[in-house]
Amino acid sequence: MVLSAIIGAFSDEYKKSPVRVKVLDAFLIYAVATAGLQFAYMILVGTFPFNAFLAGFLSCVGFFALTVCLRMQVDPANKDFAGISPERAFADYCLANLVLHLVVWNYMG
Amino acid sequence: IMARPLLLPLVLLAALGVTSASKSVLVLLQNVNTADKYSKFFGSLRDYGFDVSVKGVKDSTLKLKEYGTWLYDDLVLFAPQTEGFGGKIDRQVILDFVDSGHNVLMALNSDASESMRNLAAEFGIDVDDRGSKVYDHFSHATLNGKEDHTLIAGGNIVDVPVMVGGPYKEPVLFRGIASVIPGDAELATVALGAPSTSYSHAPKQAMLEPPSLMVGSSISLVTAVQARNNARVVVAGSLEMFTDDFFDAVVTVNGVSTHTANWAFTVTLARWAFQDRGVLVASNMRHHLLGSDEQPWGYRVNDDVEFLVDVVEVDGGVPKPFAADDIQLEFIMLNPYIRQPLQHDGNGTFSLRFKVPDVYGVFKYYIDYAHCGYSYIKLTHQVPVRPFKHNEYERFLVCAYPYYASAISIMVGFFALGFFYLYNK
Repeated sequence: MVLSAIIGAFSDEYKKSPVRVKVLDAFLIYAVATAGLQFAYMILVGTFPFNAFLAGFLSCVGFFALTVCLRMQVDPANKDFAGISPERAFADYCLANLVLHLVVWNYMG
Repeated sequence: IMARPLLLPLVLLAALGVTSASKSVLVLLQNVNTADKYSKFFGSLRDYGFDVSVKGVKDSTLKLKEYGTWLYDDLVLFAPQTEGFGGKIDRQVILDFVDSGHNVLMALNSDASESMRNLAAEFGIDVDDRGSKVYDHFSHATLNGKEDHTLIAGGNIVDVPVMVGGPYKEPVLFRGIASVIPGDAELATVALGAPSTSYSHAPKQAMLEPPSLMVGSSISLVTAVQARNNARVVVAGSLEMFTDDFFDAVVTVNGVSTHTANWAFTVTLARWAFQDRGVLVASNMRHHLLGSDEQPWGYRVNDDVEFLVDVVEVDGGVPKPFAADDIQLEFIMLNPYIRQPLQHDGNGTFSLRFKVPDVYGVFKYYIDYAHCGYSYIKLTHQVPVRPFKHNEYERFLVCAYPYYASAISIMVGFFALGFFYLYNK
């Protein structure tokens, strides 16, 4: 009972967040799902090209982390980052992703 | 008698094949005038190309070594009773002689002196006490009508044709003293073992009990030792087995009259002892990657390589290709990662193809061949094995496709996110 009340209150509040934030959340879920699929595959098949597994897995995890940071900077309800414009946040996000994917493909082998 | 028809062609073969100077043998007898007793033995050795010099053991001009060079290649000691040697020969000189790669053939009898027994002990052979004889009440022979229980005619000849010759139908006659070697001896072989019904006993003393009493098949009548430097020492417990009388004897064993195999046995064993038979020479050790001919400085893990070595058996100075299936090659780094027998091609070239293990480090090729009767082959060669270079790893593995797909999909997601973020109102 209490659980369904919590979930109801949460979803009501969540619907009020801006579209931008909700889209970022969708991509976050996508990244977690991809990471979970890779992990299940590794459990089944074994760790043979371990560097490839780590590269794929950490590309998902790194993307997740960077998108969380972008969401934090862009969410209007978050007062800590009031001085940073969304464009600046996005520019930082792009640079970080560039470095992440460079490292991922180098390690993929 | 058995060897006579073979002597002439062998002499011709020896004359054609021997390229180096004939090997010189020094024979020391108790009394040099008794050399006729062994005329057939020395005659056969001379027919095989040995230069035999017979001297008395107390001769004051005896010397084995002069100004740092050895004057003889082989030493024969047919003086079991002697306590010391004349001239400049003594126990230490004989030991140095063997240490420098030369060979000794020793014959003892029941009156073997302490110094002879100690010399045999230096080679790892424990000779029984002075005065003891080998008795056998079941396998003895009757010679010239006299039954003698110390005349052993049923000894077990070791099955190593290169050392003692082919299967013998006739017995080898023996009368003398027993020896034992440790059961786990690596360098010593029993060339002629006593029959299981024999024992060793000194008639003037009280009978011992086993295990101090030497019995049965633990008694060695003739022992052959090959030292780690491939020098050979043969200690025979009976001096009489080398005499013409025993070569020509017709004896009765268990009612059956038979000749003896002493001539062929002792001459073949003496030739083995003087490194005239069963000498292996390994040479031209080489290795290469399959598909290339040059010898690399080292390998990479998982390389396919081939190892080759030429082994030649020298018989009477004539080299001929060696054929055996049990020469083993090890590829070792602390533990042997590869241990396989080499295959020979019939021409004396032994080879093996194998895949370098998936471990990098400094390995060595190791051959340690110790087949009974043949000289030891010990070869090692170090070879470094390197890991993969960064561009030698396998790429685009099928089993890693899901990982490639996920990384690509994340990049596509990032691209889509960018589009949405920048262009939505």
